[in-house]
Amino acid sequence: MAEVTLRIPTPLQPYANGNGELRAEAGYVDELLERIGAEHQALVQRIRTRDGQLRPYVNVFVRRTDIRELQGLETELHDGDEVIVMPSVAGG
Amino acid sequence: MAPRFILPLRHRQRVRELSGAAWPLEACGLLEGICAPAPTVITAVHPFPNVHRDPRRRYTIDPEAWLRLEHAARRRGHTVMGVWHSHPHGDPTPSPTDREQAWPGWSYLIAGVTNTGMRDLRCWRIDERGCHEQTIVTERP
Repeated sequence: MAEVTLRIPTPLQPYANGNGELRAEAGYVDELLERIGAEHQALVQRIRTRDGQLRPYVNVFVRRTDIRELQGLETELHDGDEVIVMPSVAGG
Repeated sequence: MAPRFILPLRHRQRVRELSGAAWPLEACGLLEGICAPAPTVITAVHPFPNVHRDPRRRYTIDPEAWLRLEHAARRRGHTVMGVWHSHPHGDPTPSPTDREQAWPGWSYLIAGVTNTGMRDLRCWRIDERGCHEQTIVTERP
């Protein structure tokens, strides 16, 4: 179990009671989201779908690498890791 | 009522230049500022490549580029406050796509541009209740 920080950019902070970061203990990204979701359900609903997959327009970085290039939600976490959620910025 | 949007003149001119240069494609980027409840104070306008496959009608900002800016802005004690982009058809009001993909709490600065340059510049907060215009206050340095 690693102690990690989830960094939350401005547009998602309203769903995390205004927090820019949250700390938690977790071994994998999936577990981190589960733990964070226990207190911040609205935030996690914007990161993953009802069936638990990563939403298509949301990117999650661990150690500055997109988890889609690692092991996805099964990406392992280490002590001190920063996990960053970056929603898509787009329009027309 | 949406908070006022303080935009120094040099940043307004930067948006004008970048939007005009990109026409007929959409220009886009992020707005760095000071995190205060009100008003929104912009300290930098950052241009980013428009990576959407249809840049005449849409824009997308590369999330990794945004990530780098998030880190840099935090080191300066600032935050990313919103997005700026251009509408090459000249109307600076949020499109249905803008409304659909907007994040509450962010400011959306939109430049209405034609082949003769920027015609208008307006700023919006967008949430599930609709679009709320922010009054732009242009400050001279």
